[in-house]
Amino acid sequence: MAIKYPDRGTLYDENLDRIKRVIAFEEVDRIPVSLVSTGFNSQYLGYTLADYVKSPELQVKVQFDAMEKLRNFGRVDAMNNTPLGIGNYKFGLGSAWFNKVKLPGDELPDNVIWQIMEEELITVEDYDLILDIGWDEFKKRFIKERLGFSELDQQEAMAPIMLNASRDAEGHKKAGYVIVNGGVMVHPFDTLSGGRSMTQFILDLHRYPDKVEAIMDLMLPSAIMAGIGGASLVEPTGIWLGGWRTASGMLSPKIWDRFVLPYYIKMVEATVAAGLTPVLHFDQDWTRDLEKLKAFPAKKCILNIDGMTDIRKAKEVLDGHMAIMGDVPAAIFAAGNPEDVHNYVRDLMRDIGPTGFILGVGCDAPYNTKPENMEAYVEAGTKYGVM
Amino acid sequence: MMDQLAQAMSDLEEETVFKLIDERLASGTDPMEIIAACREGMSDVGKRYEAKEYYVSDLIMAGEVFKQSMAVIGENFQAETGDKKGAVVVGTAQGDIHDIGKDIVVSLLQAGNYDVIDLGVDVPPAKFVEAARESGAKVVGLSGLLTISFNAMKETVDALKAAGLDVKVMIGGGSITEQVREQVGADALGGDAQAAVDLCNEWI
Repeated sequence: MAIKYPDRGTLYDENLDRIKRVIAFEEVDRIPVSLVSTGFNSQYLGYTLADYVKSPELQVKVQFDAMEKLRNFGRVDAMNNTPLGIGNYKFGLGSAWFNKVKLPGDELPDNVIWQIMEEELITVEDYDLILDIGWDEFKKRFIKERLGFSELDQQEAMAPIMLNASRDAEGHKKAGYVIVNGGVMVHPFDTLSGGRSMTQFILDLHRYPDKVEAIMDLMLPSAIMAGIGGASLVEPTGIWLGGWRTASGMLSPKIWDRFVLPYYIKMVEATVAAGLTPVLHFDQDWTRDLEKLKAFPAKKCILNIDGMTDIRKAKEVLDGHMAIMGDVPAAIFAAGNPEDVHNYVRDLMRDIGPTGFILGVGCDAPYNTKPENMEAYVEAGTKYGVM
Repeated sequence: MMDQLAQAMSDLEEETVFKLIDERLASGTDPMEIIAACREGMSDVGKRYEAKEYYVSDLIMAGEVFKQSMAVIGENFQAETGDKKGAVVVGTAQGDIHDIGKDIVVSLLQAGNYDVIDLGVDVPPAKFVEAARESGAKVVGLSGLLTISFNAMKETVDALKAAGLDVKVMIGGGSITEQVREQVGADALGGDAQAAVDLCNEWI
């Protein structure tokens, strides 16, 4: 299943320069088009999701081949996803969210997207254990005992990714694709709420706030190292700083100000210090706290939103400070038509450009994206992005 | 001025809520009055959410406190169901296992004195039909976070129509839009949990 990567000469350098100019709010000749579509790629190329999750090689291949096929409709300048795939999905997603994962072809039908369980795998009694033995030791035990991956299993899960990392990362760059996101740094809030279940964790925030804060403080260095370390396989321009359950729309200001923002500030600082662009992959609605995102250093980050944050408000508040990438929503890809896509992209280019903007998919294009809609996205991004 | 228990429920003061419930049960207060106070508090939670004072996490907290309150009161009392406003069937559409939003809707509807039949997650269309038929529910609520739920929602709406049931269907979830509602054939889109309650209040 080896990929033959075309050599497109200076295209990568041109695309990279364009992305850097966007982040710095310098003028560009056209707005870059980025893509992330893990589930859709399989459908687009005639594979099931079950095929996809079972094969690390296929994960790399379908993502690359889908981008190559979409080049028939316009430009794809950057990928907002690692070129290496996730490999073993139960391990990869499970160890990020600290919970079990149901997979297509396994617990789910072949073409139902993977789903992360909401079980209470970390108990409230574990809080004292974590404070006693430290987060790294707890994590080691948890992955082995509660997710069922021995150290050998973990090495086997990582092996396919590590083996060809350099080849695939360099191949994507040779083909012209800027890797805007080459890894993920997960906020301690998301990890802990994943392991406790969202409901129990919300109760914990009310019942044991000091203890939760102490544990999150313990978790942060490990989260930072994992995000930055993972990127070294790919040498991307940036990494995701994930934001899912940390969204403003989910949490009261009191909880957000104490348990969310201070950790992001440190995560951003560490990412920038490592020479990487923090791609704030902020799903759900962050409109309420856009002003507070100015705490992050100017012209260093990309705000990557999914259609639920008011992107025009984001432009108004953060123009000149933080570039924006987004935000064509999943519903348009799955339920809309090409005209809807064209209109949405045209309006984005007009309202969020011309500087500080990368056209992007909201989060990740869904599995049931209509192919003609994704083709329209690339077409419209090319047509309306010329300055 | 709100009743003290209602206020504590509204303020998400968990310990105060359980303390007051224990005191009132011990003093022989009619459990129905205690339930009414809890419901009043939950209704106020809904209003505070609409006023953007509360967020999803507060609804989750409120739902859990309410559920535990009902469990405490229920140990002392078997609630009459005859005075319920009506039955509502709720579930997450087939193919989707997300339940946080659905659970918040269930809590608010129960607080609103509806008889809620919670079918859980990954619910096939036939099960919605069966539950609606058996309960005589006039409203069916479909929840879905993922776009894969769209087809399942449409199949459910079609199945309810084919079964000849006179029900209104409301849908809600992260990626649901008015365009999706139209394609699915649902009667209304509930933009958030409180909207689901408002729709039931309007329809029942």
